[in-house]
Amino acid sequence: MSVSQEVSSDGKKVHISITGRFDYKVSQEFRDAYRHVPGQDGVAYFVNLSDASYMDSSALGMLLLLREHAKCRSGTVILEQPSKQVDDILKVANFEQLFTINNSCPVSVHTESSMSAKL
Amino acid sequence: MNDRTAKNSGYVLVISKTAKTVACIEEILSKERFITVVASDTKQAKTLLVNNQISYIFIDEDLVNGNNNELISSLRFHIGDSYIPIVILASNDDEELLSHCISASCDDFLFMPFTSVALNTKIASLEQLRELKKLHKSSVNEQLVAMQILTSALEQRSVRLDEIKLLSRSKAVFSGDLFLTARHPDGSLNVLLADFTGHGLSASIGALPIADIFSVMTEKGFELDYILECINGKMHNLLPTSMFMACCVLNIDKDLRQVRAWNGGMPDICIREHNTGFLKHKIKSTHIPLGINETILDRFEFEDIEITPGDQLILYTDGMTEALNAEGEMFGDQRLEQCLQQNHSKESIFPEIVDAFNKFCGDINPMDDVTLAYIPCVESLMHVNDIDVSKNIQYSNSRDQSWCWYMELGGSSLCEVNPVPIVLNAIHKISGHSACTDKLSSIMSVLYKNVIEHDASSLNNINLQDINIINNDICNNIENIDGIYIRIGIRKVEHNGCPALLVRMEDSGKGIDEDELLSFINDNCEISIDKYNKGFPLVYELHKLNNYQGAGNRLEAIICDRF
Repeated sequence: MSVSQEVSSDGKKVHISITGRFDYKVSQEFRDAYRHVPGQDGVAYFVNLSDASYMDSSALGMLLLLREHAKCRSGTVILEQPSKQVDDILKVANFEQLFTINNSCPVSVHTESSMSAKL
Repeated sequence: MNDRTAKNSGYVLVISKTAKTVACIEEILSKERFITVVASDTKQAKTLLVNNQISYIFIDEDLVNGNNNELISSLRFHIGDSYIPIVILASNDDEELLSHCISASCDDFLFMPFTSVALNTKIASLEQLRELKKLHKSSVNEQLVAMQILTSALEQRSVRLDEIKLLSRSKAVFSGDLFLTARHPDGSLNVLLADFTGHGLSASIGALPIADIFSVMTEKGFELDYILECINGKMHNLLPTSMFMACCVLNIDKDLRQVRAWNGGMPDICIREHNTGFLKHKIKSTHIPLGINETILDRFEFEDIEITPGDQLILYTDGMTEALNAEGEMFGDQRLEQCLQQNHSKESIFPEIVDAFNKFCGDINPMDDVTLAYIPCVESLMHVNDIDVSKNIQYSNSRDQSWCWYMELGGSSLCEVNPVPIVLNAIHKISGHSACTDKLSSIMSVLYKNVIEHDASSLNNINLQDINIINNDICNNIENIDGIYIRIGIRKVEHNGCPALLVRMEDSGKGIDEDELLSFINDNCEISIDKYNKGFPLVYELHKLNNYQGAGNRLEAIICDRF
């Protein structure tokens, strides 16, 4: 699975992890990872990119779609621990001007509830 | 054979030496109104294929046994681009035979013995494939025609310069990379390299409007920040959220002494010394790509880099550095840089880069569109070919060929219209020469300030060069814009025996007192300039003030350079 998703017990945090190539081939999976979350405002979407080996311009576009999705719902998007290759691509696109990029360890996921789901 | 006069579904060629097989196929397909023609060897098969409009070919496996695929390759040769499926009639699932037939470009198998349902289903499934192939072929043809139209449209919008070398490879028929050049009226050269998200048709759809904005606005004398703002707005409206345009733009000045650059989401632009190969500067991406945010005017910051004539600019899209070789390695920035630096003895580095890139990729097709542009900053790059600039220019080379041009802006058009590009464009179109943007900009700024002089206090600190700010300030500071105007006239004259431009402007402002102005000029800045117009000394320095008339609301200046 190249895209996995976990939702915190209160439904306020959605963690999406990308493994391997983050490109146009996973666009549907990536979209499903946040679209199918029960709708509520103020959700924080964490996109973990530590295991992403590559990112193309379509993937940057997918992040922009998520940003718009979050914006419409007063939510936020945080990109976490981008791998060296992915970080280089984010830097060239200057996406730090659009997203919060967190290079430290990701916030622990509250998976005690049964809301954890894999795509 | 069936009755050939009845309306039939087409011809089926059966190549077999077994009468039973032929009879079976003929019986089943005649009910579907197919006409069966039979061959027992390659020669007969070729003759029947050439002389009949065959829809399907069935070959008995006995005729394609072993490694002898002469029959199939001979049929394929005659079939060419048409879709005539070749089906092998196999008696068992001999994997070696099946594999051999597919590698010899057969389309399908039918295992014997077969029922009428099996044969008809096979025909139906091949028919579906025929429809798909037809659709694909017509789609590719349409794309090729559209691509030709787009390419020619883009070529018309770019200045053709033999000095600039371009490597352009697209993954699909259409490319999502865009390279443009345009000549600014001040003689400098604007260059744009852009990379739309994705590739193919959807990625290239924005190319035409961008090319229009870039070429038209550059030719009219707009500065890069306004051009970028306009492109960004267009992209923001045109593209869906998930798409954007990474882009870099350069302005190479006429004297080849400075490059003004902006890079939003593109790889580094390299500036290379031609004789040493030394990479003296890299212009990094400092902005987000275009089309993402609605407006980024306040964030357009340019980098000005000093260059030396002869320096080379190397621009590329990420498709180049991310191209893979057979081992799955990327070409990468390092290989490109090594190539740029190692070939220091080479005057033109372009063939070496292309060679290294081709050797690296081998037979592997790029996964993205690839563009590499090589721009040597040589004198001939700035040689303006008048035929290129415009085909409709009336040249005023002889002294007798005089011309004049006039424009009046009043009311709200003062707020909305920036006259500088219009005036520059008019001068350019009529005379075939370019006027200095800075000088005209300054003189018009003075007039604009004069129009609103009664409320000049708020404008003391504005930048004289920035007409657009003044435009906005007129709107912000004057409640009633009725009756205010500015008139601009340009006439070609002779000054001290040389051709020159007389610029005459008049406005509805209160004007400046003549005596005080002259005294001010004589005393050289000793008068309190705030009382009048802050910009006047600058204008006086730039231009040979010829006359000063009226109630101080008329101004004449002579621009001598290059006319």
